[in-house]
Amino acid sequence: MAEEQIGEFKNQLSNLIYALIAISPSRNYITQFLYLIKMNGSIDYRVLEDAYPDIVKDEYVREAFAKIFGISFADKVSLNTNGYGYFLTNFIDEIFKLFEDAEFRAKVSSILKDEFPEGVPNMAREWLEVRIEGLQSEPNYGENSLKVLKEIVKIGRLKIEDLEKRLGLSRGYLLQCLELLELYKLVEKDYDGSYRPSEQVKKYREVLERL
Amino acid sequence: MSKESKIKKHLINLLNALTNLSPSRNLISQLSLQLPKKLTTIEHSYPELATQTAKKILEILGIKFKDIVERKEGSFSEALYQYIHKTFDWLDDELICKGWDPSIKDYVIKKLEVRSELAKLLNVDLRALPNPYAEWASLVLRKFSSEPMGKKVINFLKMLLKHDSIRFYDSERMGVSEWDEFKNEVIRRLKINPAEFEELSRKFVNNPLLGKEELYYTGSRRYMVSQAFLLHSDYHLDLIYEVTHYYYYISRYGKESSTFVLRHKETLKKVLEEFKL
Repeated sequence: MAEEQIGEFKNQLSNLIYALIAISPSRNYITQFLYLIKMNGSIDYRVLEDAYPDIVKDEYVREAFAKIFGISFADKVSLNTNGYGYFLTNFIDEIFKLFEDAEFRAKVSSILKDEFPEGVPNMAREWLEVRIEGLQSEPNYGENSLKVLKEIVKIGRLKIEDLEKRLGLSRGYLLQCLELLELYKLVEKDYDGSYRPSEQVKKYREVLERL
Repeated sequence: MSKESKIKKHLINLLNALTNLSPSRNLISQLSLQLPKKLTTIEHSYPELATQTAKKILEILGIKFKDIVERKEGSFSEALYQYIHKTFDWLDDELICKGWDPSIKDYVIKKLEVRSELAKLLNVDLRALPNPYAEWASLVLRKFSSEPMGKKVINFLKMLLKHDSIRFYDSERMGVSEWDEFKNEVIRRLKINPAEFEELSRKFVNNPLLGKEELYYTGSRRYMVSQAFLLHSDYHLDLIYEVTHYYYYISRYGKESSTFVLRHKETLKKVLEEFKL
């Protein structure tokens, strides 16, 4: 009887964990789109059009998304605070918090070891990996943006003039790289104009070091 | 993969994941939704969630196991609870009563077109889309249909669903309200006593112990403030939102009246058709 109950609990837990993983932006293109908007508050229409042309350029899909998720498409694209998209991205924050909890991952992994032989993934860390991969794959600025990010992480805080000297890149080009890094929330700009790594980059520094 | 099919594939995956978290499909969600409950009730109704192994995980999710089992404030379990209510509304939006319009001092019914837009994007029939609210309502009613009070539950809900809204106020000060009339009619037709009416009301309309949640921004007019809340009941069918008007003059402030506005009406009516008791 007890074994049956534990077996049923495992099924329920497995169903819950798979659903939460599937919602995470590293695994779903739709929540990735929504969460990127949420992280930035709002994003320039043109930037988003380049990054997600299949959603933003196609009028039919764009209008459907606006209604389904409560997205406002103007010069800036943002999530309406009473829309489902806004709520869903807040729920994703809670998923990240849960999966960042090492105790939770360890306990779930020990119960669901057949399903997750390598352990339950940390979805927050995975989202960082996906953003860095996204950055790297940008054809014009990707590789150098990664160099900029590594330099900022190495020193801890750098101004654009320091980056110009250290990397030998032009200011205009660097600004494009930094814009991309800010879009993916990999760096943060301080009031004095200097750039520092975002909290997630600091927390999971090894993700960057592996590259 | 074509662009269209990429969006379609990810939208289907998302809908499946969101639906799999609904209380009709997952016991952990079902438990989170229905707390607080007595530990003995949980051990009886959900033995699989009351083993030591399960408790350890559920505690990390933010479920406290004491004599009363409850959700911890700010925990994942609480986020899941809110998620369930929002998703009920989102995937059952077509005929939901959506908002309070301060300019006309009344509630309005708005179609958000979530379901129809999803159906168009996925190129499926509207009826093929999951509806976690309808699934949950059907599960709750199935549970009651096998119990002695099942017939009363079904008839109570049918009588409730005849209304779009029901006003209530302090009867001693302002006379018999619409809610009093509804209560008297239910007591008479279902041959129940006032205590049984209160029990039905706690189960499906409003259990004051469970609190209420502000639903919409509610406007204020000169001398009048209005607020709209979702009322929580034991089975969380989310049937009612309460709109309350407060007046304030220079030296006086008070509650004028409240209105229970019915939600999810059409869906619940359809679900009730399955139950002929």
